[in-house]
Amino acid sequence: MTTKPTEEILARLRSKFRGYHIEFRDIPEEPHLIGVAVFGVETEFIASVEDEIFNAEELVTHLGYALIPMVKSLETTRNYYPRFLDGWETSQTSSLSSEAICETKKRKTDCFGSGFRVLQLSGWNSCDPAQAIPGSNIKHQVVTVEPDISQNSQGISQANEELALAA
Amino acid sequence: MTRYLFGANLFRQMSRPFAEKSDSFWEEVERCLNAGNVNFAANRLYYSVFLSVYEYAIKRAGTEIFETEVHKKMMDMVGRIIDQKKRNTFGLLKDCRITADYCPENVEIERLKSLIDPAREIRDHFISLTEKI
Repeated sequence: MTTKPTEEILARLRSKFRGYHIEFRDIPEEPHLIGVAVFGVETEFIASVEDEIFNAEELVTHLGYALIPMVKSLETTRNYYPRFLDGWETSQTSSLSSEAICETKKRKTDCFGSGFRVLQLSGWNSCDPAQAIPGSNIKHQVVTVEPDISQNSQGISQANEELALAA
Repeated sequence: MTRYLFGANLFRQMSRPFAEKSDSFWEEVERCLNAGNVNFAANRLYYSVFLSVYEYAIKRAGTEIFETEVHKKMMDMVGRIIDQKKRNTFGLLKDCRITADYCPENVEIERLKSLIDPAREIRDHFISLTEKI
């Protein structure tokens, strides 16, 4: 399998909208197309996230790659990919202390860099999350981004041949 | 590698070799949306536009250079012939098509509807170009 130049794209996107879960996906029969899936995006920001993905394409065009935004709304993520919301939704009702729950419920919007709204736990940058949320791995659930192509291409890579559909 | 049944010469003899399919796919989009079948509409919308671009491409250059990675090449062609914004629209149509065919969720109907007018512009543009060849 050819290694795709996803690290630079990931760094760019994380700098623009920190906190969203991002994955890279293979596009069947199109090794130089890279699907960029961003999960849990509020509807009003989907177009902006798509634009930012297209802007990030400049990092890989010299290598012959192009990006396909695959932005998933908050509702779609909640219904079909809830594991990607664990950090800021499901865990607040389970293992957190009452103090941490209060902090988590302050889930707020904030602006970074280009003006994107990002989802973030209140007080996240100002304290050690391991102390704020004892025993919780919520930090990793919220901010970790997994560019695991081999895992995430499962299903898509088994898809029907596109050209057969087009013919 | 995909092999085609017919060569470039045959396609070049036809004014619009994929007209029937592209046109019927386009008509199906509205029917599918009215019937509530948004995923099939997304598939037909993408392929209607794709075929209009592909038709132009093979009339200009033949099938041989489009035997691999044809979808990326058509996306790039939209960018070269029209502009980057329409190229991105083509990419978003591709996203809807992938969601429709490979993802567990349905394509969001309002999102698909928002792509119909720009998709029509791409399609009309390439049909017009093809008719002039």
